[in-house]
Amino acid sequence: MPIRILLADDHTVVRDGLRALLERESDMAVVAEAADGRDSVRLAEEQAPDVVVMDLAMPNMNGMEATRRILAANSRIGVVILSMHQDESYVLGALKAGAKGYLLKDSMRGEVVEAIRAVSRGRSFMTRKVARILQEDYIGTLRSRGLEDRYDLLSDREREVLQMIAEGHANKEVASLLNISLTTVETHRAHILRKLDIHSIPELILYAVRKGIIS
Amino acid sequence: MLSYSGSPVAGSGEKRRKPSWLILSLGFGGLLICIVAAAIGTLTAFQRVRSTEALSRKAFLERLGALDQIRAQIYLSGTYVRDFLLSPDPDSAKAEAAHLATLDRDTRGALDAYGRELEPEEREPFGALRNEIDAYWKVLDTTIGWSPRERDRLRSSFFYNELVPRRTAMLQIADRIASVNERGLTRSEERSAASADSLRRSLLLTFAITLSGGLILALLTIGFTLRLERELDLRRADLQELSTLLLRAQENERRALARELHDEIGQSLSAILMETEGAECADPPPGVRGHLDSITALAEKTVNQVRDLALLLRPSMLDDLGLTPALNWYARETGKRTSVNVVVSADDAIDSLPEEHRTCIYRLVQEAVNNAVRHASARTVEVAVRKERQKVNVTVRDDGAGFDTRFTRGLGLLGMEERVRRLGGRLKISSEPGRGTLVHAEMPVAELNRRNGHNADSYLAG
Repeated sequence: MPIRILLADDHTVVRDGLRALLERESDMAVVAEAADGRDSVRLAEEQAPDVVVMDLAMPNMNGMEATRRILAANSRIGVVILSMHQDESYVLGALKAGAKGYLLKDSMRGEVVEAIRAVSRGRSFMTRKVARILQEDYIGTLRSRGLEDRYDLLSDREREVLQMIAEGHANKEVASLLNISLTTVETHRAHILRKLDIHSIPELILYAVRKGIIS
Repeated sequence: MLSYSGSPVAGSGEKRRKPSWLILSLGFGGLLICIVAAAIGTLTAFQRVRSTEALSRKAFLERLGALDQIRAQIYLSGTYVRDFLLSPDPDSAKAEAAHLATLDRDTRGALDAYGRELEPEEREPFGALRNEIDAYWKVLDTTIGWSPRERDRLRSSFFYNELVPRRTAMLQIADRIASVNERGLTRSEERSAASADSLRRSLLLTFAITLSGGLILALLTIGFTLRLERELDLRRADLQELSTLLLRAQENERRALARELHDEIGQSLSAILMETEGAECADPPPGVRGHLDSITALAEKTVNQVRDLALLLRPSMLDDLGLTPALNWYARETGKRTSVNVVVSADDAIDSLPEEHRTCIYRLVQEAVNNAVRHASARTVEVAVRKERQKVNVTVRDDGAGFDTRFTRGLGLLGMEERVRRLGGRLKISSEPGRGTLVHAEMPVAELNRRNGHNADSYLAG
């Protein structure tokens, strides 16, 4: 059973290029194409694809809002953002909207396929360049503000939990993978958020990317 | 919206202004000349009245004196004649006769002097007096020729029949002349009173003319000034509208250009990248692979350049995500480009500000940070944007060199002021050399006015 894919981009050249790239993969099938945000929401509902490859800048509802609506209707769909924007505000916005993957249009060699596979399995995928930019920003910020790295405050177990959460595993999965109880996972999670002064899972993912814990 | 009547109005105003100035300066000059001429005229007229008065008084007194002298001489002649007639001694009689001769001369001199300036009214009595006196002296001359015996014999009859009546007649005539003289004085006094009267009238007239002229001039000036002020207001409004339009046009153009760069050129380059990736997957011959690699590298570089250019023109976050992400991006960019640490703190509420406010604040912060980096060589810049109820406060504080706000007024500062004033806000810049700079702007925000904000998002959020 191939991975069913919806392409959402207002530029035909981009959609055509993507389709040509993806159709070479035997385990992937492009089931629909949307030229704007509203179309992508409608088609996602009709086709129930496994993965949506989504542009951010689109007419009639932008990619972030479309992602939010698609996931609100069907949370099992994985969304990979494919954008020109590499600033953290866009990355964070997309992650907050629920996107699992973030790719850049100028550096996606071989990554689209990889990202679609990862996201279809429920995992996160951040393009190397975005990860690097976010890390550099973070290090720069730390250095300029003279702040200590809060990562040092975490215990080994907490670091393990942090990585798994950031990779997209649910609390229950983490509990079974690490062989600990769900309550313990939740406690670890609360500690991690408090120690890192982070308030949401998207921020946690962003933090993990910045730190190079996941990519 | 732009009124193109602006420049023709300016032209005609220019044309109108010149004659106005001419009229005004002519009016003011004329008024001044009027006042000065009136003053000079009044003074000379006054002087003239006074001097004629003094002259006529002096003439009156002189004539009065001359008459008195004539009177006295007549009396004196009587005395001399009497002494002559009574004197037994021929020598003393001769002396008296000599006295009389002198007196005769003096009297004639006085008469001549008096006769030189005669009022017409005086002419008749004066002629009579002169005749009387001539006759008198003739009689006296005859008397002088008398021998002592004749003197004794005719003395008393001469006294009572000749001398006294003649003297009385002469004195009466002299009195008439004196009274005529006095009437002359009264007349000249009346004349001077009349000329004082006419002086007063002309003064009143001058005053009235000057006053009305001044009034007209004042009205003209007021009208002129009001018109100038109105024109100035119009011109200022025009200018403000123009600058608003300019700023808006600039912003729209930047936005369009940024979008074009980002969406069209950027997407085409992305498509090129995908095509090269496809070509690489198709297992090309080794010579072609090298070309594909350089195409990819070049396209990637160009995408990056296009993106940076687009963001510098107008950060897309401003329209897509709101003000805070845009400010954060700018802070990070500045941190990367320079070694300046820009710290942004902002309320979440500011992302829902109207588009005009977001743009204004972003450009304001951009300009202030740019100044701090470029001119003040600051190390840290703190940017704070706070929204409280109906207004939003923006502060940009740096620790740089600072400047003297009295002397420095660059285009950048003017631009900031203009943007803030356009939204009804106020901009305050406090700085001192060596003490850093604080830029503070306060702008009102109409709560329900969010139409503008959504217009800008129509492309993305539709």
